[in-house]
Amino acid sequence: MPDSGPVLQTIGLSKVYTDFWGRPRVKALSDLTLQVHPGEVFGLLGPNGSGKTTTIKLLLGLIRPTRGDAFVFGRDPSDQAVKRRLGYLPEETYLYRFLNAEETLRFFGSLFDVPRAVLTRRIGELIEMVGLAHARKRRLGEYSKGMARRLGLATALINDPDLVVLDEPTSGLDPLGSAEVKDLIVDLKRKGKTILLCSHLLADVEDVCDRLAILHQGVLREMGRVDELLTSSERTTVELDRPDAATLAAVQSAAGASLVGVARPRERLEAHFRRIIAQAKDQPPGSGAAS
Amino acid sequence: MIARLRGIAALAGLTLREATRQRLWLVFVAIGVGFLLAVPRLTAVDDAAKLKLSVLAITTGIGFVITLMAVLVAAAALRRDLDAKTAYTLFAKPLTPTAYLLGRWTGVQLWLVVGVLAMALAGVAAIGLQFQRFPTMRQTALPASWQQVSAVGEATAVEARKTRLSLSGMPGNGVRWRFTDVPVAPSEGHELLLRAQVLGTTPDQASGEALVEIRALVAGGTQVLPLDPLSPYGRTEDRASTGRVLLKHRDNSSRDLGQDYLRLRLPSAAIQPDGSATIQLIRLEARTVVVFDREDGLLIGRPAGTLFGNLLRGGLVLAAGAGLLAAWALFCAVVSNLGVTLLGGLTLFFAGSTLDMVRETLEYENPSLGVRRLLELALVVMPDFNRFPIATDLAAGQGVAWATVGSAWIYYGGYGALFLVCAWIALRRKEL
Repeated sequence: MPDSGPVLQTIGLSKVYTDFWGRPRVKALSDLTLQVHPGEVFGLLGPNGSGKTTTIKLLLGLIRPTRGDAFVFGRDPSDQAVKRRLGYLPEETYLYRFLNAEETLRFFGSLFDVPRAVLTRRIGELIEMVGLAHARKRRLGEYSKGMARRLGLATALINDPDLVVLDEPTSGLDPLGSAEVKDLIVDLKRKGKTILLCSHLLADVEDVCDRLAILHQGVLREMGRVDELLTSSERTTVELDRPDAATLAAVQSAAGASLVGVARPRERLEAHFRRIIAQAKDQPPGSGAAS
Repeated sequence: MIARLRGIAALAGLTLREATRQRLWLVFVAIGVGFLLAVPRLTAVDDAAKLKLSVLAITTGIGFVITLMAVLVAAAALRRDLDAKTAYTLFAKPLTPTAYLLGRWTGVQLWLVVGVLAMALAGVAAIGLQFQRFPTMRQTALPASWQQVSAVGEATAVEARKTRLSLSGMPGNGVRWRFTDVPVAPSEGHELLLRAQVLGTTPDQASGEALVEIRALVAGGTQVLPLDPLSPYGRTEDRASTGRVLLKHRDNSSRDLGQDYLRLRLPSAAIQPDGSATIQLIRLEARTVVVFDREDGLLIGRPAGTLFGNLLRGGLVLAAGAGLLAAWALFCAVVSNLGVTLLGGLTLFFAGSTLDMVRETLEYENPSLGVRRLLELALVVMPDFNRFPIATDLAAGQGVAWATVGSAWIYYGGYGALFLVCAWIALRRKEL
């Protein structure tokens, strides 16, 4: 697949976890087919156990699919060339407690082909960017969860990746930290990076994502542009400029001269998400039974 | 390739830093202090025996600590990556399982070398403080071939499979050793070290000493080999340089190069232009049986440097064995939990340390066919941790050559490579 194609692509991707004897235990993902294009911020939503993390692990080559294919930059996800262009922030911050911030970034940076001087400069920039300059020499064992999360984010960006996979990036962060992460995502998007974002903070997803997919019990329930998904097709909003009582009365029967805009009402993502999940729960549980 | 090397170097550095930050160096410090405290308290019959015991204790201590350390550091590092899920972050980066395992293993080895260096320094300091001197270390070389000489002077080759040569009966018979590739001797000549069991001709007869004549065969005749002035025994009443020496009984437990070997000098004149030297021993009495071991009956000894240098080389040999255990621990850690891994590592070590007993069982006992087959299989497949008896060699004043270090790394490295391949397969198959 050429590099100009989708950054991420899955075709009928399925994953069944097995026990020691190879017997199927949990069907975590079923026939997931999606594409993420260059420069896009793509949201992956779903309740706990919906298959989001499994999808990410498959896209990172950490686990192998039971069926279907996954491509990152047109290559197999386990390809080292893919990993050189990818940054990943896991759901929890899994870093070495005995290292300090600088050492952590230098260690992970040393896995990439980055000249030492460039790496040193980048480490300084990233530490400043995530607001850990005051704690750069402190060991991670002494970090709060939020600080560790910030460092995890810096670690994901150490190689200046083209694709950033963020799994719950605001987990453990205070409101200010969450807002900073949101700004960072917008900034990365502006720089042309592709972002795959998993988050429970639906308002944030709504604000920053171009497209999103909703998973439930390992099955893709909905996918599309955020605007399209959240725009109601069944209702219309008529917006008037300071209408008086008579006008309002008239609008009730027909649109008048003071009509300045007609739009379909936009639902909040949270309400939309809850509705989709509620619908999915009402459906018979044929496919997908993530635990 | 460069990317892989980068990963290996990064992981090796991480492993070293991890061990340091977890203060595992305190173990080395504790052992060093232990050496300093324990050496003055060791008791033995005399000062020489005490020195020997000290070297033995220090080398054994170093071997034991680095064995434990190899299993612990390797197992804990890998298990922590899997259990604490740091592996997610690691393997999302351009790091292959090969580079990860080799990096972890290299880091463990570097840590062991640091430990060997620290403990060897402490051990040498302990000996220096206590004895104000260090044992003389010798590098030894064995003869290339043996010949038995009859009383009428007829020489017949001793078969290679024979581990010892026994001389008895009427006097005049003897043994001839031929050394090859003898280096140029210093002005005082090479040391020629001889040890034998001198037994009575009947079981109830006390063993003791035997008068023998030792000469070098040179073109056109023989040359007397002078007794070293510092030889622990060998002097006869006859003060003339006739080559006659008094051989004293030394059994297999007495192998100290400084105390248990008759010491002669092999001058340059006794070395042929092709680098060979032939030494002949003739029995002069009938009342004793003289037995020579092939593996260490006659040796050419050369200076082997300082005790510290030999302890370091010995430590590298021990580190080779520990490296095997580290590779095994990495494999166990991929497929099992920390407890099982530690148990597995130590089980392999103890099992591989009992192979001498297995050999004895096969030689002297009469096990059932099934057990015999099992024991024979164990001898073939199990790594032998007693293959390089570094502690006893150093205690006996036997230096450790770089060739021995190389042999140890080749022998244990083969097993280590096999276990690393197993770990690699397991890690590749593992889903994080």
